[in-house]
Amino acid sequence: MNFQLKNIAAVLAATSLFVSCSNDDDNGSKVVEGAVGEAELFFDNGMAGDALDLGNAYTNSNGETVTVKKLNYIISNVVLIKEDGSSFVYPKAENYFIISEEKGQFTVHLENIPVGDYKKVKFGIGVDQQRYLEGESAQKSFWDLAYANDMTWTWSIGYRFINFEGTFAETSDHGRHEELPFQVHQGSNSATDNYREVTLDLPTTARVREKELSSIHIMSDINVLLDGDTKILLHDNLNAGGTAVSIMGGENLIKIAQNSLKMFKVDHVHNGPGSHHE
Amino acid sequence: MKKYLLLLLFISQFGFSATITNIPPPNFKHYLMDFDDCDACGCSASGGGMGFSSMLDKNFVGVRYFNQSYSSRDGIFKNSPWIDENFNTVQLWARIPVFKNFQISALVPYHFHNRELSTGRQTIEGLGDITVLGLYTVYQTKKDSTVFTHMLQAGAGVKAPTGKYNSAASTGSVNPSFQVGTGSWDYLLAAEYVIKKQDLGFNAMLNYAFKTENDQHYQFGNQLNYAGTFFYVVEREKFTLVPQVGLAGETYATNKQYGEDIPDTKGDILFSKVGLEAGSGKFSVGLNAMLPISQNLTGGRVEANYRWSVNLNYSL
Repeated sequence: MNFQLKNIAAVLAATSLFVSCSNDDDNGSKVVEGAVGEAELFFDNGMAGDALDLGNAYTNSNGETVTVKKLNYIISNVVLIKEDGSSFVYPKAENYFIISEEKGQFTVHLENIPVGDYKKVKFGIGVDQQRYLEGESAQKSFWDLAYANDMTWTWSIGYRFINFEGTFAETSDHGRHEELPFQVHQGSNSATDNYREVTLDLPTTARVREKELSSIHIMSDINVLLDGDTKILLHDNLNAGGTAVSIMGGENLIKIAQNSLKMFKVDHVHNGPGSHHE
Repeated sequence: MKKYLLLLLFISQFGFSATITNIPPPNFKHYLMDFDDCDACGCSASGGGMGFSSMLDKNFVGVRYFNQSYSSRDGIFKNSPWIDENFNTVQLWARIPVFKNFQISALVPYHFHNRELSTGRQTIEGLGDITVLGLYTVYQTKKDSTVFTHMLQAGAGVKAPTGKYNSAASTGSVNPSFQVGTGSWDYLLAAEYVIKKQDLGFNAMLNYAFKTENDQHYQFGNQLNYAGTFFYVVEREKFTLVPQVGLAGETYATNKQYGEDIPDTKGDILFSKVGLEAGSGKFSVGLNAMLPISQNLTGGRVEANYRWSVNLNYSL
């Protein structure tokens, strides 16, 4: 029996070993006053829940089969918002970014963000009038970047906020199936300001910490641009010759601006060191 | 590490003491007890409650290999690719009597897992989380007194974070359980009940794992494992066969990070299982397979395909 008691003592000793070396100390994850960290918005483009692949055909609920060849858009004026409503506005001069499917450019990288727990993110789609009216020289570098990404008209017309191009299937008058090109170029014009801002809730907190990166993974649904709350049929916008569709102005841009408010949703948030997206 | 080695020393001491305390080796006729696996990897949907058990040996040391096949969605979209995940584990396991009506169970797993991500093949390998469980026999029918014999055991244990937890693998959109350990101290409660009439028996087991936050501030959800297994003892002069069939289930609570619920991480699964054990002399071998009947793991982003195991035990 003595021997058995010794065994019990051994079990207790082993257990206490575990307990004693359990320790919850951590550093690097505390909020330090005045410290800054990094964050990124990662845009994962999709079509009605499916991943977007350039060149793949998708049939939308309008009954049109669309093949996307190009998808670029401008993200701007990023604001990170805490639970108490206080916010951090990213410096205006650096707050314009281009997401490009064809160039594999999906990330908005943000530096020098005050550490803290952020619960919402707000950003614009396109370029606001205020910035545009600051003039060409004030935003030369972004204009050049936009130009290089096919996101500009002439300076007097301004930026393209969204450049969405491809082909769609059309049955011609002779009953022949054809692939016709379409172009949707979203932007503001002298008649209407089509810049819009969205505020998205984060499913879990974006914890911005010193030497850490908080990555906000956003699912973008391109399908809603034409097939959102308001439906826009490409067929209804065929040119006079019936050979192509070009949506670059008028009422359609107002509808697209409205539809784009539901284009984005945060899927998840990564926190901690080394949580970069590919 | 030193402490873990010490633990192993303690465990081996039990083994040693068992052999010299002159506890009679269990008779094969006196079949018994499930060995309860209790969350071998500790990660959600990775090994917990496999319920693979020795229906032959009450007390033993042995080695077991088990394989778990999963498919996991690599991406956030409906049409994101499904990738195969293979979880392999070699486990030293033992159930050792310490004194009358009290046994210690220990599990020392070594994992080698792999999966084919769109970005390439990913492998992880290493010592897993060691589990030590004490089981007390609450009730046991005296033999030959009734037609039915009953046995009830209850116990508690601890799972130590001897396996390395890699935070990068648990965040994001793929299976968060692709780990060799939870990185956390987890605490277990377990109960087993066996009813037997002549050669036919039924084993019911239930266990619950309380999981704590690891040093990366990730906390796997608490886990409930349960199983019910019918077994039949076929005894011959030279050997004993125990075919078995049953159901096993697992439910997982939501994982947390920094104390916040992570959406779509809870789940449940129900398996059918079949097995066969064969014993001769002091040795026995076992073969088990499990196929899911219904499941909803990680918001539908992870699917279990099958599990199987093979083991070699030496009866104490």
